[in-house]
Amino acid sequence: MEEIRRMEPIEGIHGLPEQVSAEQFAPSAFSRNRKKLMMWIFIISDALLFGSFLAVYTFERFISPSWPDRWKIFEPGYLAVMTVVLLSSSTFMAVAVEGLKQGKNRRFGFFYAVTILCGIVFLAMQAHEWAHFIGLGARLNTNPWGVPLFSGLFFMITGFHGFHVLTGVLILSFIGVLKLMGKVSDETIELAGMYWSFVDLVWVFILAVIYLL
Amino acid sequence: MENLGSHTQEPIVSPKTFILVWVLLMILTGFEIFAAYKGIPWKNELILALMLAQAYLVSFYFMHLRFEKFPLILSVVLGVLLTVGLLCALIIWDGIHIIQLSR
Amino acid sequence: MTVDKQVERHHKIPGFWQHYIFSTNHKVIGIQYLITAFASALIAAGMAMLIRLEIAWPEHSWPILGTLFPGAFPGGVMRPEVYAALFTMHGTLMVFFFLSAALVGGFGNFLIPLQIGADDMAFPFLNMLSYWVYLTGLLVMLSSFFFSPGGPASAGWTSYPPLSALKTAIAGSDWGQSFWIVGMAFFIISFTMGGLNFVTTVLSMRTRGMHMMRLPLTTWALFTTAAVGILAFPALTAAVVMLFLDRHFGTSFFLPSGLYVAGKLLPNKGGSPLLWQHLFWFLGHPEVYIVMLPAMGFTSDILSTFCRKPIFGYPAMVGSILAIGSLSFIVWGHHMFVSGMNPYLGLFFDITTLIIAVPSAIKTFNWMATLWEAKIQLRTPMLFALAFVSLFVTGGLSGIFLAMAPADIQLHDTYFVISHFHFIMAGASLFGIFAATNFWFPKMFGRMMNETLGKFHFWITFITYYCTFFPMMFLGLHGEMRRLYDPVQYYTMFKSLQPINVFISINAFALGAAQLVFVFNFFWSMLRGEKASANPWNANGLEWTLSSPLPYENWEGNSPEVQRWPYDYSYPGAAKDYLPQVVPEQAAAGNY
Ligand code: HEM
Ligand SMILES: [Cu+2]
Repeated sequence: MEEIRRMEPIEGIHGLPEQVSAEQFAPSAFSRNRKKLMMWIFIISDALLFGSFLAVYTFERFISPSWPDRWKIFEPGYLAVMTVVLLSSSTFMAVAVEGLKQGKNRRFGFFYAVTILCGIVFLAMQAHEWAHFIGLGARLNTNPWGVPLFSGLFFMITGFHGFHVLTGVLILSFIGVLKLMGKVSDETIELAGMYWSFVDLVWVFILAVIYLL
Repeated sequence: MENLGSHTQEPIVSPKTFILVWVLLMILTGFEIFAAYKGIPWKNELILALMLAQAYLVSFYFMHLRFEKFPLILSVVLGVLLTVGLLCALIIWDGIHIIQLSR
Repeated sequence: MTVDKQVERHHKIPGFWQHYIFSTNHKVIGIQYLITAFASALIAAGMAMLIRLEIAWPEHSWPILGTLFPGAFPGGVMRPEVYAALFTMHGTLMVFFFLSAALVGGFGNFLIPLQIGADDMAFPFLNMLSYWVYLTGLLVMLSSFFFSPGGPASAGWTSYPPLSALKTAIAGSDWGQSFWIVGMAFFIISFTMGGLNFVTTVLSMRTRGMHMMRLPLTTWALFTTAAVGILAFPALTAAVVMLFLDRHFGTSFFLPSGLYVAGKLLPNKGGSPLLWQHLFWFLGHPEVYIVMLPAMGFTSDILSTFCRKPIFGYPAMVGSILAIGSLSFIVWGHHMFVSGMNPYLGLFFDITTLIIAVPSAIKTFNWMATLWEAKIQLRTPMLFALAFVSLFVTGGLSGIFLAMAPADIQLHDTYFVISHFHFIMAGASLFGIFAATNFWFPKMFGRMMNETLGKFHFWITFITYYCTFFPMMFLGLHGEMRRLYDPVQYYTMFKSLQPINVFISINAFALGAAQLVFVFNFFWSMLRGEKASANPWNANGLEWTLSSPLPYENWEGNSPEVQRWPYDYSYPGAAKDYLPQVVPEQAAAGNY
């Protein structure tokens, strides 16, 4: 039993290699990489969750007689900085992954660290924004603008997004440590990068639908 | 074992491309927030268009959707956009009716 | 490297815990799912018996029940809250934890890798996790009977707010509804993990020569089902999260202004209960196809096998599976015709719903054409598959009545709807599960299910099923509403219909009892059944080229090469009347 264990590939908890030689399978547009495919499908389902939330937001907004003016609550400058931080972090991540693929480890390390840093900055900014929002009197079930739905939806949707950023930061840090120990494949890092960019993608929609429209 | 399942056939993207995409994203963001803040005419349509442009850049470049094969691109884009679009469109259609009734 | 892998594999049969309990092997997980799902079906069926008892003899005192469950049946009479809790849990357990779990988790896991020629699912560990999360969800649901102070959820399997969103609305809305939400959350997570796995597996792990158009229809259906689930479940996730916030944090997503409970005005403001209905049915309708499509797939394969004929119109079958899968996303509003929804939107849903009858009809006609002039072998799986077609037609035609909004205004929330979906969703899928269990049993346990017991079970089930659910159509046409605790005392106009209810209940008890035959047959055959050969039905799929019961590792690294589609029965010029998928063209006339 001991000996067999050692034969297993690193991620094969189950005793089957993740990728038995590729020629064994019928060629398909989807078969290039199994893990990546699954990541895409996961992203679709997560995107649909946020899609449903934003659809709900729009619906509730349509059935409310009025909706608060967002510029009385949020600062355009602050919002712009938040967006820039998140979009940049996703750029850094892409550059880092590219560096990794080309074997430029120093470039990878630098940009990867900056990515995580940006994520933390974004989280801090969001926490500050929530504090500001709560300070104005907004709660899940009431707010000073007379549309309790607005603050409820705001907390729920940005909270869900923030939670995704947080998990992203944790995953990236964890993988980063594993990478330092040499225990993680390039592919896993690439997948983490996909997830990170996805979190960014969601923000693009949240920004437009909740803050700007 | 490290490269089991890794696949390096993907074309290499130069940092220049990423910088260009980043610059574009910044411009789009700036314009979007400006439009919303100043409340220019057609602002909602504009914001939605800019939002989609940003989403395109992020998903196609940063998430490398551009390098996937066409059927996958189609499934991802259609799967998400159609499903959310339908959900949105149909329940908002109903929402408009609800608000009309309550007036 | 490949070589020593193979050598290595022969030693890989793990110990008891890893083999049977925390297994990552798709076959074991499939059987775990199946047996757990059957267990929850038995529990839910027991609830149905109590429900029928109450409807046929409302508020009658049953001393035995009074002694058995003094809390729920004080003085032997069922409390109304218990009745509501029973139909809620019956629906939830049956739809999600039995039908979906057995079809997708059970047969999906068991069959997909076998039929595409893969050694396992793409992500076996995720697969194992999916089962354990499902089991947790089931246990949470069931525990609400014991640990929830007000009893289990009571707002129906659809959990419409405000009833489900206001903790004080009924006893079950208090803790029970929270249990329901948590249980459903587990189920959704488990289903999503399974779905990810299935879609990835079918897309990327097919063996050489297994093009998409050579997949058995079972796999096509399971694949579409998984994809539909992935696209549809997130809406329910969102809805469930919001319901939770409404209940525990005072938000008003689903609660409109001006609600009074017990004479007190609630502070909630601005939400809409219609939103829940939209989100729930956005999942809910695809969900009914999630349990329908796999059963359609089984039926196609089983009909073809026992007709010894190729399935008629394979491309049209695939097309209609995909059409049904995609159309199912734009018909959900037909559950809301009387909700006060925008009438133009109602018209839209009316039309899309009628359109979905077209691919359904295509499938039915193709099954008919497969049966046409065939030498039909009436074995147990075949009987169940034929009954599937019958139930599907009965249920589908009643669906067309319901799809027309003007008719639905009369029929909505009556027993007509109950009848409709018990034929099409519950019944047809149930018969599909029975057919598949009988058909693939030899692959699972290496023994045949007993044919005599199987036929006995079939005929009793089939006859009592029709006798139970068909009369409900008449109740519904006369306007008798569903979910009535006491249809006699409070609704005197239904008094004359009560004999029908008694007739239904008696048949329901017979139906319930007949299922014990199946349970007995299942376990008895598992231990004592006649030993099965590798291919007892002379079928063509890849799974039949392996021994019965299946080896621990499907192909031990030597994946088969697929040469043809799985429906070459009575192939002209071939020596036998079936040609397994691995037989090359040149060899067709020879040994096979
Ligand atoms: C020809 C195709 C079908 C049509 C036209 C159709 C139409 C309808 C309509 C209009 C309703 C709403 C009735 C009401 O509540 O007033 C309904 C309910 C229902 N249908 Fe169908 N249906 C079809 C097929 C199916 C299938 C294939 C399934 C399941 C596999 C299914 C399962 C259900 C269920 C579960 C309900 C009731 C849910 C509830 O209120 O608790 N239907 N159907
Ligand atoms: Cu429906």
